[in-house]
Amino acid sequence: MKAYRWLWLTGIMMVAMGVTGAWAAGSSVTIALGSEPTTLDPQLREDGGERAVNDNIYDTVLTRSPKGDLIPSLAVAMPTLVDATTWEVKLRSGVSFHNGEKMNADAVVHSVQRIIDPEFNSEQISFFSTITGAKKVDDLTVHVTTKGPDPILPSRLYWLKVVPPQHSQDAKFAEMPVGTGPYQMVGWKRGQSIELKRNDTYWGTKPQIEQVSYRFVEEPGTRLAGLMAGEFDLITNLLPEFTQQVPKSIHILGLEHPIIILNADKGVTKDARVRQALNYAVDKEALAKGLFEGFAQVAEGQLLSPSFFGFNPEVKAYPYDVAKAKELLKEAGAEGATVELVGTSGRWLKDRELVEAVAAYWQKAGINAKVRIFEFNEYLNRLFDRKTRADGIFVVSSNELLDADKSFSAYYQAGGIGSSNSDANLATLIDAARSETDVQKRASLYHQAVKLAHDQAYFVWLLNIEDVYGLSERLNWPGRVDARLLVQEMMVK
Amino acid sequence: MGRFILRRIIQGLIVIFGVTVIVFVVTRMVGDPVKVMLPLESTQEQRAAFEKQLGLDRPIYVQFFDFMGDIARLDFGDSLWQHRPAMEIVFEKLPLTLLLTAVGIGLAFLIAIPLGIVAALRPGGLLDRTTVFVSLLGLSVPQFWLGLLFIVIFAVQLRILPTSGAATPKHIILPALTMALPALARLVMLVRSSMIDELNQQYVKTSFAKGLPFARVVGVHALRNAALPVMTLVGWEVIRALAGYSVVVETVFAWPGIGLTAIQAIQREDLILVQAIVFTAAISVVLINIAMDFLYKVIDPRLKLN
Repeated sequence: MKAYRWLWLTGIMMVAMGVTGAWAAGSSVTIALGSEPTTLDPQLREDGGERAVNDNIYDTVLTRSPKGDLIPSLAVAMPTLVDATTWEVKLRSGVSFHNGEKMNADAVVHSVQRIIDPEFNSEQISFFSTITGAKKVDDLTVHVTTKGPDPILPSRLYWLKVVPPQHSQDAKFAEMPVGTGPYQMVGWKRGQSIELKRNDTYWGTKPQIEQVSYRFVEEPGTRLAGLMAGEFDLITNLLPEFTQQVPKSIHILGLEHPIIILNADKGVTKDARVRQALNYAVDKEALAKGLFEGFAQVAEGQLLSPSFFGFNPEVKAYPYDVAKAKELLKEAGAEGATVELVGTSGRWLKDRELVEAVAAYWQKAGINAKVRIFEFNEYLNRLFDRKTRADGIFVVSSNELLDADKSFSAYYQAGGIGSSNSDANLATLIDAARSETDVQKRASLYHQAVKLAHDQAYFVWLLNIEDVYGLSERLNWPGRVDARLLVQEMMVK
Repeated sequence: MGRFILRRIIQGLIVIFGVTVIVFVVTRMVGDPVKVMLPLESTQEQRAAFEKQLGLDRPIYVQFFDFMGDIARLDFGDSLWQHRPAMEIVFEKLPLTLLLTAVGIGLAFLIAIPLGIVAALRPGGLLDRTTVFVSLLGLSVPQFWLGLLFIVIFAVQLRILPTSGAATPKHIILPALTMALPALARLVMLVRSSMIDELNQQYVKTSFAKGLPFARVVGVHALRNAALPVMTLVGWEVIRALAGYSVVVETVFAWPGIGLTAIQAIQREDLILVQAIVFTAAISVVLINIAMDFLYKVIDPRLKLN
């Protein structure tokens, strides 16, 4: 009988310990991601799940403030130009990797050479395509060389995660990441979860949260339920209509811009007045309020967010003015003309709804909009078709470099993968900006390009979509313009 | 018997071959992984390089012969999306789906048999009408919605079960129930109607008349005769669960099985992984069918298997 009593006591004590244990581990968060990383090698894939985890394990040479300004991270200062194609990077001293390897010039040179190696075949190569090599100058100084003058190099270094020279050659590296960052790897149960713990020897500010657990839930409804059931502390891509139901939500201007590419070379949209009319005809404010519940801002007549390099603050959105649109159409003799509008469904948030709403606005201004929604593959065929361009093609552009070059080369510049104009002046401006290393001059070139494209109305600029996150009651996080989920910036109650 | 097995295996191989060829052709006709997998703003040169890397720049007949060789070696190559052997992914995910199917359909079977029998004993009675009503409801409710409903009730409101994942045994309850319900509904209806038919047969009346115990007449004589159509349906339900429901149920509950993987592979245009999954599914279907044929023979030894 006595033995049983002891057993009871032990049991109670164990339960009590379990409870206090749970309290002590109170500073942990669970983050639900939409997809599981395919690898945890930080340099290999272009993979949002991988990035979300590794952004906390690795440091980059440069980073961004929550508002998007480039600031030093593993570098002690912003890189400086030695000559037109050589950038000097000075590194922080006394930083080591989680396994004890030293973070120094050798590590950075190794990281650069690893990612640009054609044999390595990194999917992230488009971020580093201009880099030709890196050379150690002294233990804490590195020279990075580029093909031609490359003004975007600092933005590129914001992508360069520094990997340990020894361990990154280990076959297990992709499952056991080792960085210099505020969190270090604990374990990865494939299909289930990834666990991280705080790196108590971190060189920067010590984060408050001790443990991080990542779960992978593709279905948005289930992510939402998990947040409401108290299983998750943070979920991404919360649908705007659910912001009222979750414990807490935050929203911040994101990197995505839905636009309509107008064909300036052929058809009724060849006339600039028609293209302008198509801009005047759309009530962007109403789209932001009606479709996105206010979680979107009207794009200021350019394919850039205010935080991007090249944003021209003097260029504003075309106001909603049906009368003006009708007048322009009349001048151009295009009343009642038919405009084909190509879109897709289910790829981007509210893609189909946006296309249909725009078509309805055009209809109101006296344009006969012919909406054609294609399955994504077929849609891509039309977006990339260089021979026959549809009058209007809807696309959502996303720009992780926060620099005009990427979006403008793809959509603004004649011959770009999704462009529908043959404006030589615009192309010259974009080419010139690509290799202009003087920051002021470069900004001015983009300002001109933005203005030119705006006046010519090569696009119907619609919105700048906000990222919406659902948070548990206990989590505090202001969010970031670059959409990185940095746990070091989060706090729990 | 030996000849029968051999014939079924040959038939099965033909089916598997046909399915894989169709998948090979269809995936290459409708999709282009290069376009879908690279960022929209990638240049033509980057696209061409990627296509070459995937081997998709080769003529389709060359790809096809390679593919045939792959099947023979059971090695489909690396998944385009996960960059590890497709069969490795299949073998990692399949056990979880088999577990979910076994628990789900097992549950449906165990509940459907007694419930169907009891309903059949008094057709038109209260229990019978309730059973029929609930079954109809179970058949009409979309599984996707049912899963979310379970989550809202048991995980969000009552907080007694987890919303998603597969970390502990508790995690299987809601997905298994969701998988079980439509199968349960169909099975109950079939058990009920087969039993009603059998209970009205002369031999049942005779058995009762000569004083055999009730349980023996219903549970052994009538049930064995009613079992054949029921077993056919159970086999069919297992196939549907493995190759169909698993996609929906695993998506809703983030259950990391083969169904969820299949839908992710399709979304990402991962031809290699889709092929490996369809191939595995085809084999499962053939195997289940052969197993069902054997079960018929066990239940009714008079059956000729030709």
